[in-house]
Amino acid sequence: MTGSLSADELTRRRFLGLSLTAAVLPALACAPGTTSSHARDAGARARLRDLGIVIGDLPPGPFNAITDVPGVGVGQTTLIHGHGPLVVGKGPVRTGVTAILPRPDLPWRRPVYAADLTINGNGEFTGLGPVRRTGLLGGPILLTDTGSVGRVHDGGVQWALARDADAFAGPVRPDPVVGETWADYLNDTIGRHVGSVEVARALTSAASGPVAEGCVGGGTGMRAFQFKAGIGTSSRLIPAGKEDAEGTWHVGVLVQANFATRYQLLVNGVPVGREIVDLLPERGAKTEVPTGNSLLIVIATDAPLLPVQLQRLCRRAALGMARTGAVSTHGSGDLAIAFSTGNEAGPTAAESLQVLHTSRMTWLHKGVVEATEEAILNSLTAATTMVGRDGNTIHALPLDRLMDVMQLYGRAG
Amino acid sequence: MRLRDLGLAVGDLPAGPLNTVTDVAGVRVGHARGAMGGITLVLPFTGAPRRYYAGRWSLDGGDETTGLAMLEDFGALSAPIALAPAPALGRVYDGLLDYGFQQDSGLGEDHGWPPVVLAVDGVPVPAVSLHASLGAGQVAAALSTATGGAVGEGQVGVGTLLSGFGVRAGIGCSSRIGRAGTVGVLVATNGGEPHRLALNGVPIGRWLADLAPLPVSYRRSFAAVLITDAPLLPAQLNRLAQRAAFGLVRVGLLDERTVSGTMLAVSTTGLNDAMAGLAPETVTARPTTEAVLHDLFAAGADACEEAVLNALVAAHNQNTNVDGVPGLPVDAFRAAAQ
Repeated sequence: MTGSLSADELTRRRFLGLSLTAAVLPALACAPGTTSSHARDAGARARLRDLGIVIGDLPPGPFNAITDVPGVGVGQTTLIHGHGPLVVGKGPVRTGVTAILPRPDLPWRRPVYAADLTINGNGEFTGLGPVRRTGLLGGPILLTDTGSVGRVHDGGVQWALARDADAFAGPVRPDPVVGETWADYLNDTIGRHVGSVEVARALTSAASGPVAEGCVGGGTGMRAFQFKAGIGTSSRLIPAGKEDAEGTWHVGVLVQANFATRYQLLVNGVPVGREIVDLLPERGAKTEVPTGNSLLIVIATDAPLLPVQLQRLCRRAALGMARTGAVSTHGSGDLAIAFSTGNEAGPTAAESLQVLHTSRMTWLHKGVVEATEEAILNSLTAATTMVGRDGNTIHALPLDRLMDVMQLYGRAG
Repeated sequence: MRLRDLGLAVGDLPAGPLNTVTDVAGVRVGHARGAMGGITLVLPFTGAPRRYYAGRWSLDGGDETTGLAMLEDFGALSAPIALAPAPALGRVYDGLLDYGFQQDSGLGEDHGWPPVVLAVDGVPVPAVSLHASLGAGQVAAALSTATGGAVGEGQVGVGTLLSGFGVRAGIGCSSRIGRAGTVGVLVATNGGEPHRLALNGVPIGRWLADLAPLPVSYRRSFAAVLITDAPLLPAQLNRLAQRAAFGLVRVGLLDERTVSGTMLAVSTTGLNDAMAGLAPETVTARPTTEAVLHDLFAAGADACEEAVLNALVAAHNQNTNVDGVPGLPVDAFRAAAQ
């Protein structure tokens, strides 16, 4: 995919600190321009933990991802094409969709218990009415950019109806939970480029395993702390049973990060955002200081929780968010949803359920706080510098300088 | 035809001049149909969108509702309110984004974002067909025809093919003038058992023996929009939404078989006076006393009760006998009521 770029151009771009991803964007302009995978993004740089920065003390699962919760699948469609001035309806396009399926089954046939929380309300999660009313999630979770919400919702409905024409006739319906953040700085928002084809591709490819992070799926055009960000994920293993018993529960978090201001950024308590004050977003050739906007948080666990317990997990996600330094501004859509695969729910529920004893919640609270914090930071360390509409640029968090700062504060691991 | 044309009315409070939701100044309503089903838009503002205080009550949490995070956190919205079947919700949402982008390419929270779509489901046609027949075209049509004045009732807009109490139902409107202001309502009437139908406490449905109940599988889901020019704050609008639902219980629409229902209450007076980019440091709030609130609650409940009956009366000769659903036998109804 780099064939159309000369060696000189590649060298120059590296010298300028632009990433390969940004460099190949022009080359992608006429290519199909979509990728769909659940594998690690080839352009990804590192995960926080690979840098030796460890958040908290609970161990992560094997993938350190939301997919460590057995059965949970993630699939993403990434749209990156076009460059130069914005032409509404054409591009440049820097968006996509991230799909999360709680189980390998059709969600309305085998729903999960769920709950949601609004941390700050300047955002959208569709499908919350049925979640509140029934405590059940019967549709896919789909994360995208603001303009694409309607079409992504429609894509979710089409995906459901193609698999079950009676999906809306049952006791649990497939209303998609579609969340959004604002990618307008890089993306042709008004063009609304994510539709039913992209949604179907993401849902069809949803699988367990490693999850691509950074500039992928719904996170493609996003930024956090004025660095490039996007999708991030992490997980924790939770001790199960009494002190002497064996076994673990899993809790996983996936975020779409597009929030907060540079000076706020804390990495494991270190004020990185006060130490790296350059590399601010550039509108064309001009540096400016856009702030905001939103954080979407998806929490999955196999611990057998009821909706009221899942809402407690949503609240802890807000604490994980706070540990990265963010304050949840008025303009932010900071929304969380949590689900449990630990029981059959709704029409497939057994006559009686085993539910986690309330006294065991603290471990899960801790796991959610740690995994949320790490997922947000993973979105930063994975994302690459991106140039979008009108030449607007959002820089990646430079990992060498990050480690210098961590060293300076004696927290390099 | 409306309930009052039969010489009947609900309660003692005076209705507004048109006895409809548009009796609140500046309110517009637009209906549009697709090949199957339809949508209804309610615009609580004149001209470009302006931010308004809003509150909500829903049965058990309600049905699919967009804009919920902002409604509950800010107690305010700025977009047209759409009522649409759930399978078409995303397509209607996308049509409202067309409108939102026209107002402000940055989708400002004061200028038409987030879109507000309340799901209303009961239309007995396959979801696949319903989904395909509604979308941005219907949103554009409803926006371009939205108007104050008289509002179409019965089998119009999202009311198309809805049934209630064993007869054709659909959109119904009414209004009441209270001490602190006018309350106008629009109810997408759907569901309800024939034997529960009542007017002013009189169990009319028991004397309309010919009405067959809706099938058990019929989705009993309704939505109502209440608009007042009384300067209510969001928490008070939540209460107005809840208390107005008493009128739906009295008329028999809201009962133990109702799957879901959402009441959205809006004040056209208050926050919007100060928004639209002016953004002063403070805005004026006018606290409303409990006594005045109770008067508005009564107005909302009476208007909701009459709106449901208006839907049945309007639909009595519309789309009847499609799928075997008859229209309300208005003569027997009037006789029973008297």
